[in-house]
Amino acid sequence: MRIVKVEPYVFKVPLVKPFRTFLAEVREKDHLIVKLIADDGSVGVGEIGPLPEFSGESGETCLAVTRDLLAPAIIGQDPFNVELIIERLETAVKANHLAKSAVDFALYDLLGKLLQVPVYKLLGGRYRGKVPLAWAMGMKSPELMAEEALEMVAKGYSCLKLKVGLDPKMDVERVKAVREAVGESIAIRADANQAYSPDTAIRVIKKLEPYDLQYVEQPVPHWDIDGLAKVTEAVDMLIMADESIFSIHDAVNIVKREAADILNLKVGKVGGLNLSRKVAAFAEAADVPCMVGSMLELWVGTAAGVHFAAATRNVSFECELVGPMYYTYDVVKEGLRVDEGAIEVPDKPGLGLEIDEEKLRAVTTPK
Amino acid sequence: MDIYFLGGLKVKIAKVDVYLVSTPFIRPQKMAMWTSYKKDHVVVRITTDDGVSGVGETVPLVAEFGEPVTACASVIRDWLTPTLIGEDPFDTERLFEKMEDAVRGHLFAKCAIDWALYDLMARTLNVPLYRLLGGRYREKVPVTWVVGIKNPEEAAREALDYVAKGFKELKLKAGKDWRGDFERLKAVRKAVGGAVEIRIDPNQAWGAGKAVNIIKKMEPYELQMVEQPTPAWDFEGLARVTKSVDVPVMADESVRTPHDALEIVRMEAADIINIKIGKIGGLFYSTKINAIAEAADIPCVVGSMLEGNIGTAASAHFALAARTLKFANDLIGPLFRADDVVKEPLKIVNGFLEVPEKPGISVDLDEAKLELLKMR
Repeated sequence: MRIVKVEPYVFKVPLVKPFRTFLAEVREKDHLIVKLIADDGSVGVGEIGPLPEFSGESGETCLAVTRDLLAPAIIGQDPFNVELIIERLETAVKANHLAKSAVDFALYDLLGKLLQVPVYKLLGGRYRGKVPLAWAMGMKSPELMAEEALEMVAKGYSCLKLKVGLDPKMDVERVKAVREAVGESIAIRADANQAYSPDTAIRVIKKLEPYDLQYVEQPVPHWDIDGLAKVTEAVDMLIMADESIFSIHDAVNIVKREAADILNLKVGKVGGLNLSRKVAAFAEAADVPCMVGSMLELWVGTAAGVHFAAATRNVSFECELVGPMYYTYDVVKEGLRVDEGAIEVPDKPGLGLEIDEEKLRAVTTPK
Repeated sequence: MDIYFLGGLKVKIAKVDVYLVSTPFIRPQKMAMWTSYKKDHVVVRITTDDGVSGVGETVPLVAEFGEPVTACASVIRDWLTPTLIGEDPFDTERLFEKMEDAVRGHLFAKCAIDWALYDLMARTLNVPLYRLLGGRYREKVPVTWVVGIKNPEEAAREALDYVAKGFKELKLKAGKDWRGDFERLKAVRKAVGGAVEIRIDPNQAWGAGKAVNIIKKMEPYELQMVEQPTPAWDFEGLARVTKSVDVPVMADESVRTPHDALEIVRMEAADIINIKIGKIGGLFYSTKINAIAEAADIPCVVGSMLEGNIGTAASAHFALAARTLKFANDLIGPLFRADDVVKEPLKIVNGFLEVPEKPGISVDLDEAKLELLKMR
């Protein structure tokens, strides 16, 4: 069996409403769809939603990297030779983890379809049948965030993630307002997306302690592992690393330097499912739990996270696999089932989704 | 290729059979702590409700690890089997958690189950096992010839003999008396010349203090690596040796769990890790230790407990797939046996273990041999 063709598609999808983080205000987002086609005609599909402010990759860079560098590296390869293919992707071009992740997702979708099993069976089986979700909320005024929180709790979410970071004082107000609105039974976490200096982070987090957060995510710049370690050491609150971990090697440094208590293991950030399993294994040995975050992918990319979270024991927080709920349209015929703040793990072969080819053609045709 | 649709999936484990067998050795194998004439195995067969089976085995070493085959068999029957019956064999993350909760440790017993589960998964999907472990990263599996503790002349003769058979890497067992180890190394290096890699394995015997001196003395003879010079528990000592000598140091007995591997990384206690699948609980944990090593850029070797064809075949599939392996592997158990419980034993040709392109672990259980070699 051989991979004979790699087809990347790029398009923009508008969000239902703007999503504000410390890094950017997102109104519409680039998406890359990658199809891997095998010599027997089987097709695997992957997807990723790059955000230049987060990873330095855009739809156009993903397209160029996939078409010009990743595709030639894997055409002709046996799709079952995952370790070899991942190595070839690594050596074809440095970094570009998001583009590589989309190819990895497509590869696992293809393998699942060839073997007629859902992808989670290739990742360790069904550790959980439903993946509990956290609703991720963009940064707004405390009142508006409290309002959105109540609305999502009414929809069945029992875990909320609040984007913070633009103003330390207001950040505390945002958390306070949401906690007061939803009461004690709802889990809340905050994500500063690198906004603070280590000293500011320590001061802000100590003020957040009365509001009973699960953890605070990436309080300091991504490169500042010492600063992250300083914060982790100084506060009682659990600290999560996100932008500080883009590869399996980053996980080694975080664990060695005890720089964080939890990892945000976005399967689309570290290079896909193959590498995510390795990060999870490393973290598990160090007793560092993981949460599967998202790059606000559409359903295909989200499903990769769902299969991974279903199979991986070391995922022990509600996952932020809510991308599809943010978009005005998708390119699949039908999404996965979301009910009471959890996604049901699909049992169909591969990632379990079917592309709406007409829609994909319509959105990728230059107007 | 015949493909089962497992989408909605209901393949369930229906039965776990346990057999005790002994396989005769071709000649005694002498090491620092023991001499072996035969090997006792526990062979396990797991069967699903649709009639597909997978096989595993364990060849525990009582002297070193304290798990006799009879204990393994009882742990498998009384504690592990109940956690498996009615379960989907693909749910490894959950099943190993259940087994961890059911009985602490007993990694030899768990390995037998593990190999049977992976064989079963691959046979259910009708693919060679390596495809479920990351595919064919390399075409064939290079193996090491292991020379036991014997006088220098004999060791040199044996080394030459196996180099002539195509082995490119040799492992010298050591540890009873370091002067003897030194003379043996000298004689073997002189006999085989510079092109053959030689590693030495004192199986914990030297200890940190002595190891540094011994290894430095051995440096002119171009050791590829030194394996486990210090006691298994002594991570500090291992780290001290690793920092003090130029020869790469490999951890073996020190690594029995992923936590141990992480500790090696944290303490920078070794340059290489021996993933000895049979002693760490099987492929499930090997995959995790391999990931830890890969993240930390630590190369690995696949080791063995001198398993028979079943364990060696399962290990060989892992060795085809794992990216971290940079050296020849200790997968020569079948060569030591005069007989075994499989239909077509594996072949080692020109220093490489051949892995037939067949479903599962590529070897099939022989019912008649199972009866013939039953432990009396």
